[in-house]
Amino acid sequence: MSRPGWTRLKRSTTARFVLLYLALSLAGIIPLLLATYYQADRIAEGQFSAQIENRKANLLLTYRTGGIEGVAQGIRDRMASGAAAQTALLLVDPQGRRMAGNLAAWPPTVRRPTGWTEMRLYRDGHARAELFALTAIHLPSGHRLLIGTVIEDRTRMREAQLLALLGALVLAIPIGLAGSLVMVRFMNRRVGAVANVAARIAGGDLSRRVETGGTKDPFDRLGDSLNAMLARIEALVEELRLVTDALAHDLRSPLTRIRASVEKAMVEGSENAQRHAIEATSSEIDLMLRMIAGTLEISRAEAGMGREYFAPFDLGALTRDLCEMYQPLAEESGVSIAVDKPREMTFFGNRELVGQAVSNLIDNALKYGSGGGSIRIGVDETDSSVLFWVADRGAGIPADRREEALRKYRRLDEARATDGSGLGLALVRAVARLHGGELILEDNEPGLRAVISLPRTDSADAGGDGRSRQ
Amino acid sequence: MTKKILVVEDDATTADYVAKGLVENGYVVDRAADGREGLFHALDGAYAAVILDRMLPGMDGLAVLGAIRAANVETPVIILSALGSTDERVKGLKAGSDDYLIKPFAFSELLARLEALQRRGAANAQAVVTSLTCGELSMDLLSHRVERAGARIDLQPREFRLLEFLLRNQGHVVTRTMLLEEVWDYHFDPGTNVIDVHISRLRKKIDEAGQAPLVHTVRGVGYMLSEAA
Repeated sequence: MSRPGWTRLKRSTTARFVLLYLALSLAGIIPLLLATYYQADRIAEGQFSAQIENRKANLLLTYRTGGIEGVAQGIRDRMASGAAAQTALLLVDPQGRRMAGNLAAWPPTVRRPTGWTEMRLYRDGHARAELFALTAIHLPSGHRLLIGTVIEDRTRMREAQLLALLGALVLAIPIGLAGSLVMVRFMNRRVGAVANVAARIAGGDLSRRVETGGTKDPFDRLGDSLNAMLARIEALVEELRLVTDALAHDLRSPLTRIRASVEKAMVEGSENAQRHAIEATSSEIDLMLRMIAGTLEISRAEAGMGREYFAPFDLGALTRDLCEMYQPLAEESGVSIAVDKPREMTFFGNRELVGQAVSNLIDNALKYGSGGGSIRIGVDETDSSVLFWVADRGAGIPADRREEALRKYRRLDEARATDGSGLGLALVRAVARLHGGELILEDNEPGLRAVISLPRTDSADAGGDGRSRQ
Repeated sequence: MTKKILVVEDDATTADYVAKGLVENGYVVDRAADGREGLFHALDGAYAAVILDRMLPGMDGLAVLGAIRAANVETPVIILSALGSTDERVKGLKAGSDDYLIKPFAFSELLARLEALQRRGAANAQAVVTSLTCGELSMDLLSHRVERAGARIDLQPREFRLLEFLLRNQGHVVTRTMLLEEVWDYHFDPGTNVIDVHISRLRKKIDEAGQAPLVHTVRGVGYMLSEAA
């Protein structure tokens, strides 16, 4: 493998993942094996030492009752009975001569009474040296006693365990490597599928979607949220296109009217005609400015901007204020306007935007529903939501055209008899959505009932801040 | 004494437009084309008001405003901005401006607001006013009594506030948006001629047949309360 290739491999997530996986599995296995090894060894050692201690205690008892001869006799008896197959025993007199036992001579390296020591020794009748665990005792009479037990077994067990440990490690490394490689390839495939879709979308094909298996695993969830995001982006792009087209179209009409009146004034040339043209131009410009301001306000609300200025305010007072604001205008058009069951209700939101939304609804009702002679405004609450509504008794909107009425620049009166930007209801809906709610158009039988349904906010922190005067 | 106004605006056309209008109305105008220069002039403190663009080269308009206020200079400031949403307006007012005007604007609107700001400053310096009069019209702010030539006029609470605002600014033009902001405390555009209808109602109550009209319409700008026709 070439040098740069190796560096790339070291940097790649895949290689890192494999190494991490391996390191983690080893970190898990090794302590486990070591613990098993030491535990087993300690159990074996405990068995051997118990045997020796037992034998030692017996011989010391014999010494106390039968003296040194008793001990020698006891050893000889034991040798004869064959009960000492795994045992090494030796009793020597103070001069070091053997009195009894199955060892030829006292091992020269064992001088003092010792605790545990391990040593290879030749027993009588055994051709090869065996490994013993020994303890040496000096008796008060100057005699010395050596007691040992064969620990070849224990050593073999240790070796076997070490072998098993090594074997496990040797197996764990390739298994870990293979396992992690399989997992990494699996993940690479799933992520790769998502990356492919993203690349297609970056290439301009917004209709692409990530395939999901419906298993709700993290990859599926990732795919689902990506798909939801893509659907939203596609909808926004589509809407942006519609809005741009519509805005261009709707700005063209006032511009055309301006151009016509200016041209007319130029042809006529009289001062009066010019003044008319200037006034007409000024009011057309105002209309265009309103449309642009409205479009921007809707875009901001749709983008979720404005939440930082949410504050508690009284919805009841707001509806009363606006009702009173429109009262004279309504009376002039021969319509009665009233608040249904006035009440106080604290709501957490953007007072300006909500005010504008309600005002748009009233304005709409006055423009299109004044034929019914009455407009009612009200606030209701349910357990989960706050509803406020504006209802007229006019012609209403047929059920199949309500969705259309909510779109930007969409005006249902084809003749455009009344002036307006075609943004009123679109703004109301954007404001409702900014507050987590929705605008619903219903049949008022007859007439239109526009309901802004907003989720209830916890009004515990809502202190009256005196914003609504009077 | 002529009043000095500082106009901080980087767009030469807008600056010319504002400065020319102010000079025609008897003000002396100093101009600054960027934020630093504007701040330098404003800290001088000799101005009756500062008209400050929101987006300036060198130093942002709100930063200039913050620096002016941090230096304890209390000169009234009107912000001019193309950022017209309600939040941007709140941001501007929170930063310490006294008014916020959205571009494009009519010069008459700017002038009306500038003058209202001057009067507000002057009124704050005076003792508390308990009654307002204009010709034979009088308003008692304590008992909420309004009379014209001795005859009592009954007003709705909102009409009372509307008249009070007109009286406090008598002899000067107030615009529809000023009325909406001051009397109703809303900053959005209610669209149709909502304010006009309120004024015409008030006018019917104040100016009865045979009496000299006090409420005047200023074409294309707004309204004015004054004795002179």
